Amino acid sequence: MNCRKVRSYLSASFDSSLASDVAKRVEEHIQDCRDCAREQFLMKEMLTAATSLPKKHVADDFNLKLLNRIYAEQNHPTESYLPVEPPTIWQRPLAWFSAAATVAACALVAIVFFGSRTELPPQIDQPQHLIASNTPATQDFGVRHAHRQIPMSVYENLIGVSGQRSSYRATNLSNARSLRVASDARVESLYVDWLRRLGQPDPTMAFVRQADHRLKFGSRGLEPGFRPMNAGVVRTSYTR
Amino acid sequence: MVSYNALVNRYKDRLFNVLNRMLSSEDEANDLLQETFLRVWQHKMSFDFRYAFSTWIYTIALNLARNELRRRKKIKFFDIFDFTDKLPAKEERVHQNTGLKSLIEAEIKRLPEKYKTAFVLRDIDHLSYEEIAQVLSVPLGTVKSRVNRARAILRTRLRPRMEESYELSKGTILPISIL
Repeated sequence: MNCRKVRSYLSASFDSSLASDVAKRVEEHIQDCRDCAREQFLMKEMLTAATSLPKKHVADDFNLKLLNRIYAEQNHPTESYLPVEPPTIWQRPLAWFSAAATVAACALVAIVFFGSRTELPPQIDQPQHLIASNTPATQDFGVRHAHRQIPMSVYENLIGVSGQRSSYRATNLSNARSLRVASDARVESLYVDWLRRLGQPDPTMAFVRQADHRLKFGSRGLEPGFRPMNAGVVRTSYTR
Repeated sequence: MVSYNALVNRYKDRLFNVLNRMLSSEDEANDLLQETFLRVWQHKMSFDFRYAFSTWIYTIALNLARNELRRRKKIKFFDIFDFTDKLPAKEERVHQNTGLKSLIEAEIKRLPEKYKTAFVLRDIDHLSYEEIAQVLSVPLGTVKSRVNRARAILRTRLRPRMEESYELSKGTILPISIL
């Protein structure tokens, strides 16, 4: 038996799935051949290491969350994950608080970031338009060239996707069959640019929440751990 | 419900590790694990008692994982923090962990999906070839071939690092996997 054949049998020999006569010939060869013995040694060590790779454990509250979800499914079975019309603001008293907090946060950020920068272009202060630029970011946000105005609707089509891979994405986007999601590098770069320009976290939080609401109420509900600030960005064709 | 809880406890860690290695993301693995057990609950009446329960639940989990991987090819996700240059490049991060186990973990992630699945189920989760064949719905010979191929790929990729460890291990009685 030659070396090439023996090495092709090495993997099977570890599973003890070789016929006894073949296994015996392989062993005989390995006793005489240092190179094949080395190969066998390396294979054995690799498989030993793979076997003893650290095992991770799921969170302690996994069972509880699972049972809660099963309970929710039994009481409110969902035919699909298609988005439905969100409840009106009158049905959501917390939305008032949220809206007030958002406005306050935006005002604070505007004061902190834009108040002291006299050279900012005037469009920054106009809420109905955002300024996007293809030029690289400089130290001063205000120094930009080739500005052009991007309508807010472009950004409204951007929906944050949790970078933490919370259940938000799995239970919403992956199953929201009506969403036609496609990457668009240009829009994403604009979005990132926009995040940098406006400063984090408050304006971004406000925006992502706004976009988020439409999916939130269209699916089985979000888990509380959703953190829009860790969002990746996709563009969807979903509209209100 | 008590027996269901027992089933969950029996399989959750095993499935979580398989899904985590398939998807390279703990959060996604957690999501799919929950989805797997939910489907087990929802379709419990359709379970065929002629087959092993483990095969059934692995099939559900791996089908979900494959759907997820297929979906990833269609949708490109961007992490905002990728743009911030705060983290070192991925290659750099791999080389910072010089342990053989970390290296093997990284190389398993790089394997093509079908080889990765076969390798993880066989050499990490210790399923039999017959079980893997049932889970993946492929012939037994195909499973053996995939496992063999995965091992060969890993051995080729890990060879430089392992040769180095092999030389170091000559003077010791320690297995090189702990060097």
